[in-house]
Amino acid sequence: MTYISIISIFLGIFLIDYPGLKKDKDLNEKIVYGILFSVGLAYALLINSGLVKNSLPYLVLQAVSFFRGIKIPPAFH
Amino acid sequence: MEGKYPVSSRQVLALIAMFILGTSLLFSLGQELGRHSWLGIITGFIAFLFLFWLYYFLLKLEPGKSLFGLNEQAFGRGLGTVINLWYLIYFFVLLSVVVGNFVDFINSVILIQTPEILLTIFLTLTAAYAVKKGLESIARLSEIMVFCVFTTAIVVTLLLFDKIDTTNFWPLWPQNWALVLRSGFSILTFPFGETVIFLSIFYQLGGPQKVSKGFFWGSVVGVFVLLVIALRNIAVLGEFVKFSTYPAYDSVRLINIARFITRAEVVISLNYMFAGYVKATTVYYSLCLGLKEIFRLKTYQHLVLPIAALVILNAHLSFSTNVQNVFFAFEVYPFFAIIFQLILILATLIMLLIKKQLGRRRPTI
Amino acid sequence: MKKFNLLLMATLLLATSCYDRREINHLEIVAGIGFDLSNDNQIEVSFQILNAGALGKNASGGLEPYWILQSKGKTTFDAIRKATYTSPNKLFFSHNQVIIISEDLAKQGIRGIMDLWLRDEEPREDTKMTICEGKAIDILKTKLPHGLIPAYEIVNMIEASIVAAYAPIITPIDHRRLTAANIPCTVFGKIVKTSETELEYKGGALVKDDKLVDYLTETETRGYLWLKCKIKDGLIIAKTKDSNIVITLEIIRAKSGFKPVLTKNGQLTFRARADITGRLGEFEDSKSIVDPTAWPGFIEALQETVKEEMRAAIAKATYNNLDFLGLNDSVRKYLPKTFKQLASSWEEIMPLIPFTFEINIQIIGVGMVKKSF
Repeated sequence: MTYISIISIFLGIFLIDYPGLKKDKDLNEKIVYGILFSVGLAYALLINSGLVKNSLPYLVLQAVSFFRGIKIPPAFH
Repeated sequence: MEGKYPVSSRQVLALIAMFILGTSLLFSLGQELGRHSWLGIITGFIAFLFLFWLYYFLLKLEPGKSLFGLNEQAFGRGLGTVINLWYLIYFFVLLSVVVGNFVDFINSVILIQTPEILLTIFLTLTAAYAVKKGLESIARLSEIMVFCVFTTAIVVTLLLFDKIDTTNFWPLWPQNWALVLRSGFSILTFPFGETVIFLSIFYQLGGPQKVSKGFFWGSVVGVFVLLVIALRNIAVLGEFVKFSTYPAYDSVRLINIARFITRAEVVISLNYMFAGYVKATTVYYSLCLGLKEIFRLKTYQHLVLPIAALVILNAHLSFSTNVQNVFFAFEVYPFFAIIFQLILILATLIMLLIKKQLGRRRPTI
Repeated sequence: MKKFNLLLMATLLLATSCYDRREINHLEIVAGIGFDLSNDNQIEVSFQILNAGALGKNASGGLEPYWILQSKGKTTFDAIRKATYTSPNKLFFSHNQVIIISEDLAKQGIRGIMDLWLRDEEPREDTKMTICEGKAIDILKTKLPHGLIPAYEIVNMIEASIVAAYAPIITPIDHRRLTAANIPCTVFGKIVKTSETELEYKGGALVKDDKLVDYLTETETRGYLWLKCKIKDGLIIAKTKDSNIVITLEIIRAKSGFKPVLTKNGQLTFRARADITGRLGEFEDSKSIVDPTAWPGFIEALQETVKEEMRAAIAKATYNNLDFLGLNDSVRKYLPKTFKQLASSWEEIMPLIPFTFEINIQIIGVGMVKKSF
């Protein structure tokens, strides 16, 4: 059920943007859009399947804690 | 590009002030200092004046160029793009955290039973709408809202007059100056240093002279409101500010004039939401603008919604309670943000100055 | 298209966020809460709940305007949630006016109640709190001769106590503020049931950390209120030494408090001070009051009364290190350096620190009669 709603939300986004993209002749734009769109979709699906649990702020947290040598409190997991 | 958007100097001021107030209205800055949090804010602001001077210098050096353009000019196309992408990551993290904070606030004091993801979706989508409409609409909104926030801060402070206990400020000077400096550092990076984001927008707003005037007075208005709120919280709540999750909200809850004027916290939380909205929208806007510039796109309009999806997911996953948020804001965020707010800016400036010197000397040889 | 959009937006405005609305007749509005300790050491909560059907203009006759519900549980929150076992609807706490905690429970500790009150977003932090002798449910069950809802009348009584100034007014946020400032003891107001239809709010209850340790007498409470600058109104009753005349001064303005100071030879002293402006309220003497030679005697007698009250509170505060006056905190505030030196041996030193008093009383009126009969 959640998968279906995720896919339909992304489909909705795509349908909203499609007319504008078609009008535009710029190839760069389509590539960037495609990358962002597929990353978003893949990320959503991965989160839903439980394979990915981390967000970008959390990665930053890990990196900075590593460089500063501090422990991440267990509440973050 | 200049003069494309008819944004007045006053709107720049409002935008900056609202941006600084954004999430910092929610949390009391320098909470770890307790009754000396005002000292932390002043320390942070003084340090920010140096940053401001740096930003001003950069604006004057190359008027009409954005932060991303400057990076490319300073480091060349390849390295410049890498640095710009890092900036985009910073903007993205900041945006996710801002949205996450607001959802956390709404979810813990106003709409408790609403699922968090729904709030995230609607907050991000309204921001996305404003970003699609462009900077002008954000600036106009903030012009109205800064007035509201300013007046509310003053009026609420006046309404709390009977709860104010000035002895809470004593002793005036802290024992632990190291903590004040440390706290000042984290206040420098949040919220003052975050204005680095405006470097990527300013070139659309007019000449450096006009913009930096708005920039300066906007940050003065911001710090003034922050100080009023911090002093009021200390005077009303005393040492309890250290323990409260949302001290400003807590102190406003205490307003009770003859059992008639009570429950003013609803007004306050509306204010918070507008300030946070302006902040989220500004960051969002500059994120889209950055993508547009790095990849040499004609327009960013189509990128808004896919970014919204990513922001929603990241904000939803970021932090589940305020305790984690405080840890992030104090222990992690400053060290991450200072790279973008100071070190990279300084590097760009030095590179630009060197290039300029070389360029000037070359014809004479 | 534009018109359609406008219409859509208008409909959206009309249909906003009503999905978890709570209608008033599906809520049980709590007016007062009492906390007791049950026989098996659990927390017993009694709620005084408004009976919406019996209030208002076209109320059906014969119904009581309020009803009382009781429940118990392992923690405060548990007890409150278990109230839904017997209550037809969910309880609503935003309009709760007063918290009454029984002696037995207060002796066990009230930390759970305080924490819940500040952590949860529904109850207000500025609810009035009192500690009662006996059972809290008995206080809530008292049928006061006036007013519809006893809880509201209790609050009025607490607020009116400022006129007589014989009891402090404390709310959860006040308590938390004091404990956050490391003041070990908080003085709560005390409520006592004197008969079936009568309650009395006077005196104080000392709560150390979160446990009730002692009660304050009226004089001690008054001394506490003087030293904390909480007396704005009320009377001072004094008897002159030589002629045994009783004078009653009605306070118009008062400013009082204490401050630690270092004397020239480095001795830490507390300087208690009160500036009182008042009117003569009652005077039993046949002599003419306008006789100026008698005035110094009256003022001296009044000063002595205030001093006595202050001394009583100080004696209580320094005895057993109860320190409900915040002596410790005041030294930390105003003399941080001295505090650092004394911090380790504070408990032994505290009872030895001398107090000096400076009481200024100004009589600005004699009322509407010049001469007593």
